[in-house]
Amino acid sequence: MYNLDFSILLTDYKIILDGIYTTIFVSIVASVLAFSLGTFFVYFRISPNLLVKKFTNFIVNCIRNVPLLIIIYLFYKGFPSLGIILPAITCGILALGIYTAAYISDALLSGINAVPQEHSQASNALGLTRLQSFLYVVYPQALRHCIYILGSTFMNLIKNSSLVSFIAVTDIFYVVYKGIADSYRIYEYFILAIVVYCSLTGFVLLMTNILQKIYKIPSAEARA
Amino acid sequence: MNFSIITHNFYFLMQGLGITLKVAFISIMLSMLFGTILGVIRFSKIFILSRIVGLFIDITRSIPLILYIIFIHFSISPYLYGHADFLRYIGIDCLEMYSAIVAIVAFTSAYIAEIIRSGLQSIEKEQIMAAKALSLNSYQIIKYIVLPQAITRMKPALCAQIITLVKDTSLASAIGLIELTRATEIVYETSLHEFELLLFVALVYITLNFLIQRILHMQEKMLNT
Repeated sequence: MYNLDFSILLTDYKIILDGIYTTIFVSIVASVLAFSLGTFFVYFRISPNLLVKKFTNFIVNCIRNVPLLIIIYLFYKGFPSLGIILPAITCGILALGIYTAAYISDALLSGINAVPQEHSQASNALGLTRLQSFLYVVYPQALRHCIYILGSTFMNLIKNSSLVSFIAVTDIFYVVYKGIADSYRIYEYFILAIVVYCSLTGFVLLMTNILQKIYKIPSAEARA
Repeated sequence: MNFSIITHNFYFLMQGLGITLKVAFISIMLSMLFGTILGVIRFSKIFILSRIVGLFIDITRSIPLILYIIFIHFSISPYLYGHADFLRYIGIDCLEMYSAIVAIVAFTSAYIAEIIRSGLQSIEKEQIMAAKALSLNSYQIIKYIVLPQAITRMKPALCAQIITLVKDTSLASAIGLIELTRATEIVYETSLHEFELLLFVALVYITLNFLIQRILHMQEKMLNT
């Protein structure tokens, strides 16, 4: 019978805390990057220019259909052969950001589709340019429509951030994997990882619920 | 840029693609089966069973797949070292493939269970009541009222989940299963052409997933008519 012994976690708590910190750092920076890139993508995906629209759609589709691991390797191992050498954590953040940006642009697109067409027409009639009407009229409403989808995308980002350990960034998954390999205390480390990831995603879920309560559009529910 | 490295190792890479397809196919079939079972249990209000399944689904959905693969590979698979013949008999070549399939199936079936549950829940109660008033029995209600609508609503999410599963098979490279990603790693570790190889593999994955999307859309159209 296997008996649990959590003292192994206490002996190297410093490494574990460091790993948790790295995971949170990577997630936050990558989500900021993903959010701005996703906004950028979605602005071109609703462009009236058909060529731009098709091209951006194609790019987003391509990103969505490649495994994240391949994108990470492309940054970390592919680019040096072209002469671009970046530190591992930067590669991880860039790859994670670009990968998630595709999903975020999808979420934002669904939010934009939920905003009535008349709003952008009215803002056009008031003489706003396309960028202005996007930034001041459509986009803020679209954000309020898709809080839940964005929340689940960010949760996916936190989970996907474990893949940066493949390029030797010492995040919590790396610590767990190394701990299992060193001591073969599988269950303790597994429980630790579950607790860490559950609390991180749980925190995001909590924030999503709070934001949804504050910012949801009251008329949206009546229409639906 | 030198693409001859790809043509030289083409056969090896395609073997990797074969393993990827095999793992993906078995995992899709099994996770559809288990996901449906779990989803129906979660939907039915059998008190204790529904709670346990709900706990499993919630925990699985909030941890990364790679953790699952590592856990299965280190905890359950060692007990199977003596049974390689049996695994080969049921079509699984090696222990790594077994671990990968078990982990991916357990992981994906939690997601599919949630999709199925939400699809079943989206059918309004009034429709079932109306069907009962028309004196349909429960089998007829499920076959003619609930399932056709629920399947239509679940289909986009299920398609997305299948694409995700195909991409997720790349994580099996962590435990040394020589599928497409690991095969690429092996090739570029002995050469200096990482960029070309990774670009090629990305293209292979894109083509594969576009094909799967096409097939699923075709099937959707056939069901609609």
